[in-house]
Amino acid sequence: MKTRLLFIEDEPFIAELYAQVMEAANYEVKIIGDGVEGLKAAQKEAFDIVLLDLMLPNMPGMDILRALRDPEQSPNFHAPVIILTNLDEDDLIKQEINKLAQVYLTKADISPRQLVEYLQKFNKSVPIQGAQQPAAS
Amino acid sequence: MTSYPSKASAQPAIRFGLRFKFLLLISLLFILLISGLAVYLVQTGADNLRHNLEREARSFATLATGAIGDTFVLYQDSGTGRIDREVVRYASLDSVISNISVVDLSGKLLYTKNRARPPIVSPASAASFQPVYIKGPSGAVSEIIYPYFETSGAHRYSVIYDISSREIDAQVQKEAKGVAILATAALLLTIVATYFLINLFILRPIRQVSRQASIISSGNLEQQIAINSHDEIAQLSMAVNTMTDSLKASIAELRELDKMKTEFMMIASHNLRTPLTIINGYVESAEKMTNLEQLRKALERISISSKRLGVFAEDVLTISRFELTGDTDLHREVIDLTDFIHNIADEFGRITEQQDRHFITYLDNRSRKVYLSKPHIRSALWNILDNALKFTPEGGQISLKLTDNGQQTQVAVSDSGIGISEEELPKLFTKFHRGTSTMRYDYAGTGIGLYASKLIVLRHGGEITVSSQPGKGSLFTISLPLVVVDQAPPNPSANPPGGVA
Repeated sequence: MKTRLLFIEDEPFIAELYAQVMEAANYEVKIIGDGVEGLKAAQKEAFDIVLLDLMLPNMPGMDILRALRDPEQSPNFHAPVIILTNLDEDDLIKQEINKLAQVYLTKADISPRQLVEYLQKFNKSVPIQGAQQPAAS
Repeated sequence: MTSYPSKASAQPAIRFGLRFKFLLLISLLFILLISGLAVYLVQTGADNLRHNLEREARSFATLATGAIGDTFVLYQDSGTGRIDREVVRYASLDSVISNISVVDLSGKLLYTKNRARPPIVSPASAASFQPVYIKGPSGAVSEIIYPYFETSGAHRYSVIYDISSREIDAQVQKEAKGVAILATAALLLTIVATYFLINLFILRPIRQVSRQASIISSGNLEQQIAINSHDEIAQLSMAVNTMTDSLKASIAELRELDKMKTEFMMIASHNLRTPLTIINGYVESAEKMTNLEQLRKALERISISSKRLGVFAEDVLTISRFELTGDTDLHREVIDLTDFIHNIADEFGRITEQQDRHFITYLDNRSRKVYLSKPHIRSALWNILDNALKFTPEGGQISLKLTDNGQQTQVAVSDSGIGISEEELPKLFTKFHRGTSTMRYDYAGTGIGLYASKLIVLRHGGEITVSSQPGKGSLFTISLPLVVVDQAPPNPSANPPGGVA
């Protein structure tokens, strides 16, 4: 079974670029370019990993992250979240991200191929709760 | 919280302070007043005293003459020793009588107590039946010649009293000394009182103000000086409070500016990284591409991104040049705007085609001469077109329209994008258009492009406006003044049209 990725990213070129490489590496990628829609999708569908941009239309990435980690708002969401952004946040926000998300990556520092390599390593090392749930039911 | 370094310098030591100055002033005034008063008092006191002593001497003469005359008549033949004894007894009753003598009616001296200084008497005054008062050079009575009548009524002798002015002077001096001592005591008392009053009413409130001012200068701007009076100290306190308030306001302003600058740097680095990410990503994937169509697409994206990077760099340069250096040299030239817009439309049309947006142009071929700087106006318009592209979903529509009214020409860009909310509209053309909370990023306000566009258009004497319906789209309009044919451009001396621009 393919690993399912949700990529919440509004910049179409970047979304396409990363999606191409990830699909080639046998990931199933869903791209959503809007904050509100992205949150809805993450809450409804079961994804193994969520890649999240911070600067998004309609809802900022930080708000999405907070909503996903709030058990009342997203009771069924347990997947790891990787922040993938070019925004260099201040330390306060970074601290919060470190608590809520698994990884903070800067797009400019990581090429699509490097990201895929990273994801493969990440997949093996981090138990993904979201992926285990369907198997149990 | 940032703490501002306090440069609370050590207070200079007080030399000749307020206390010293006040005391000096008051002492001088007091001494002047007291010495005037003392001179007056001594003068009048001396006059009175002299007068009183003289009157005493006269009364003494009236009362003593009989007794002294009797004694003289009684003892004149038994030698002066007896007379002396009696006379000394009488003379001791009055302090100013320095000598007592007896003369006959011709003025011949028959007896004198002080033989060293016998009196000088004229026969007329010696024979007078009335007492004669002889005044000395100072105007005071120095000698009294009093007639002595024997019990038979015969007038054979007169008694002479010498009045000593030295004795009077001594008395006056004693009085003056008393006044001087009193004045000195009063002066000392005044100085002490002034010292404490200055402390209480001036120095203590001033020290309080200065203590609180140094608390303020150490960085605690919440400190306010309490005002308990209505005097100059209160005014000083109020001035310091006002100064603190305005300092607080300036610091808040600076902090806000600092925050905005930090945010600007964050946005700027984001805007630099994003096209770079795309360029690097496509370069990396292009290495493995064999499909020519795919490769062409990758190159196009690289080209669009590098253009975006260029525009962004241009915007930053524009802003820093216009804002920081106030550079007005735009290298303008008179060009045909219609041609110019046609070229930009062609370029933009290719991009919209690749990105699945409909691009509709309403352009004719009428010549419109505008005095402008090509690269600047190009980036001003490009920012607006790029913005429309960013916020218009795939399949959406962007249109470009060029019109004029004979004096102004309008370039209008409309889109069917997400639109701009009413509260966002006024912030649209500001440099750091961002949400108020640092935790949230307003998606639309991540650029400086529209701000740069506004600066450029304003420099051209034009205007930029926007209207929008959220959810339906936005309309941006750039107005620029037309160059009327046969008329010189607005500023020909600075930038000759068609010259070496």
